[in-house]
Amino acid sequence: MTYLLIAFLAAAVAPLLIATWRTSLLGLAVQGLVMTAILAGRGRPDTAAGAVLLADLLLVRTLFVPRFLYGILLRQNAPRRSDVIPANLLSWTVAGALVLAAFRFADRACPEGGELEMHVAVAAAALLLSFLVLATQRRAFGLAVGALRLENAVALFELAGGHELPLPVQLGVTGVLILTVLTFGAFVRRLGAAPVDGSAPAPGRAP
Amino acid sequence: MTTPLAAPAPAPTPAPAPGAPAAAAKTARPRSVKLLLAVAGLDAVLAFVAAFATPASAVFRAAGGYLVLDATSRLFLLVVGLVFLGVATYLWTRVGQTPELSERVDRLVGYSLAFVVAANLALLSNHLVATWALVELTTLAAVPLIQHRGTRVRLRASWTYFLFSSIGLALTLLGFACLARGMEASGAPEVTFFLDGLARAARQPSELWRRLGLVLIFLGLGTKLGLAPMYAWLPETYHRAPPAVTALLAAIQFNVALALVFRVVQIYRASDQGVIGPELVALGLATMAVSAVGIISTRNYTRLIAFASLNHGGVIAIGLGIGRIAAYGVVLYAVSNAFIKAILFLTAGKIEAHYGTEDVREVSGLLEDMPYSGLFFMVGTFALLGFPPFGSFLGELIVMSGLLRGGHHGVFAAFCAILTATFIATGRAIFPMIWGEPRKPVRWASQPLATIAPKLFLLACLVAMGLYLPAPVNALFRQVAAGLGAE
Repeated sequence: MTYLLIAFLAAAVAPLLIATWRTSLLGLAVQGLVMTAILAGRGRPDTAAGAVLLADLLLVRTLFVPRFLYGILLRQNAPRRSDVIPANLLSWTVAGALVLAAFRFADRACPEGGELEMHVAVAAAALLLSFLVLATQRRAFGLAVGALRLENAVALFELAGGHELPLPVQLGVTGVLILTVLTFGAFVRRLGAAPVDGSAPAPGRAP
Repeated sequence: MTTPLAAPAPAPTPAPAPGAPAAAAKTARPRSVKLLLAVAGLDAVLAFVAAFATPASAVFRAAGGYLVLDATSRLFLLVVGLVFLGVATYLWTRVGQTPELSERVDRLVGYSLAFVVAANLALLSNHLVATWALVELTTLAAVPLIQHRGTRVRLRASWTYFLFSSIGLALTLLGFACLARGMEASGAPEVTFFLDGLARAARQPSELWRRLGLVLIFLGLGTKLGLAPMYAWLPETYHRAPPAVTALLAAIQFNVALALVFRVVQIYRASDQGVIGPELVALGLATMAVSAVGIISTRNYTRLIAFASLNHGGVIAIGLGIGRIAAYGVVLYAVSNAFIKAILFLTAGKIEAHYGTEDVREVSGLLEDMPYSGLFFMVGTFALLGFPPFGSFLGELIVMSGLLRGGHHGVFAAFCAILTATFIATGRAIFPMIWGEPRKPVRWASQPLATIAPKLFLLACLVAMGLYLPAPVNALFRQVAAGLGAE
């Protein structure tokens, strides 16, 4: 499973360096796919709740979320470039430090080490990077991507445990995720590329 | 700013004879508003029956154990039912008096009903993650409500609200996942989020994961309660949303999130009285300080009440943090503040509709100009500031006494200093509004009893909570407080 976790981490880090909105959406899709692979690696789900979780990861997070946002941005004719964090050395250093801090935390939280430690470390790194994105973004799309990265980090962390939610609860959680994504999409569509705090666009940035 | 639900430009109205039939009664209202009022009435009656038809300590489960009716759900169902009835009556009268507000009101009613159904189910839920999903549903229903007939400013406010809520609730879910990890790490026989099963599993804690989980849960739910550091959405949203929607958020959604906090505290306090007490006290004090600064700096009365709501969240967090003797005060304070916020935000909507401004410097002589609204605003402000004889006074007093008896003298001193600053700043802004010289010609329409009855009822509840609580109500309060570790 370790290579899957490394792939997840790569999908969390790469869009910080390759600053296009397509990369951001691809990152979300890859994260969903990796989580699907992790779950599928445990065998076919033997409960309805397990099947719903698999559908949540594969159909919602991997396919629906990126595709839905892609359609909106395409219709908006959004400029290709979209920095999820400011493109400077300081931001990249902070991002690197956050990944290191996540691994240090996992080292303490899981003294038994092994795959669990790696799992917790990657989930923590994805979580901290999503906060970095949320803290530095001003546009609806960037903030929505930050929030969805956070959702994926939480989902990855939940996969570390072996427990399952009861079917009605799992259905509710998945339903809420779909509604949340639809609402994010509606905001991205209506707020467009303008900064959501109402201020003027920063010089040198895409309008 | 002129907000559609709150502030249609007030046309001068001739003063009708006292007792004359109100304009509200003459105007045909959309069927959806009648439906809303009927559902709100039914909800309040059912909540009343659920609260008092059985002993406070009785616990009923339904729907295969997914729903539970215990003291916590009974008390908060009652609060939600009463406040929702007040909001529905407000909408009924406002739409009747201002027919242009009927535009798109069906949409408003639809989302309000979805909001309140999700809120009631969240209170009845016996599964923490299911409760979480239902709280998220109330958020999703509230987003279009905040935007109702809105401008770009409202769109931005609803975006801020949605973003903060989503992040806060994601943190809460992460907290639950940490608790699950803790249960697995400690070898608990099963990992469950059913309240009763979780209570058993909580006795075998894995300290790091439990602590981390609880901190994340309180940080996440603290976002919904407006606790620092994730409070920034609250003043903006409460200010921009239509008054009826603000009342729904401040008095209903706040208490649904608070009930979830109570559930978590009830489970974990059973095995460890002091669990994350210091963290809650620190969050509470920081929130009170932020609130005081906000109140001092604002000149907008809706925003001022919103900042005062932050203060309430802070007091509740401190009370929960010290637990024991303060627990009863926390329950009393939380319920009182639901009613205070409903009264104040709905009255603020009326005042804004009359004056067309939310600037405290532009409103003066409320008691003469708008006697009923002025009276409610005055009494609500006194209750807000923790004056006797209201429940908020008694609740705050018990929390302060808990601070002293628990030996938290430094916290007590900071608490008093912040409260004093809040009191002075609020009084400086609000008192001239109430008692100043009227700036407009005194000309007020008589208000039908129906328009003030819900607020009068909420006010009566507030006074009763400060002076005399009937035995069945008191039993309910005590039962909830006992779960929070009351001595």
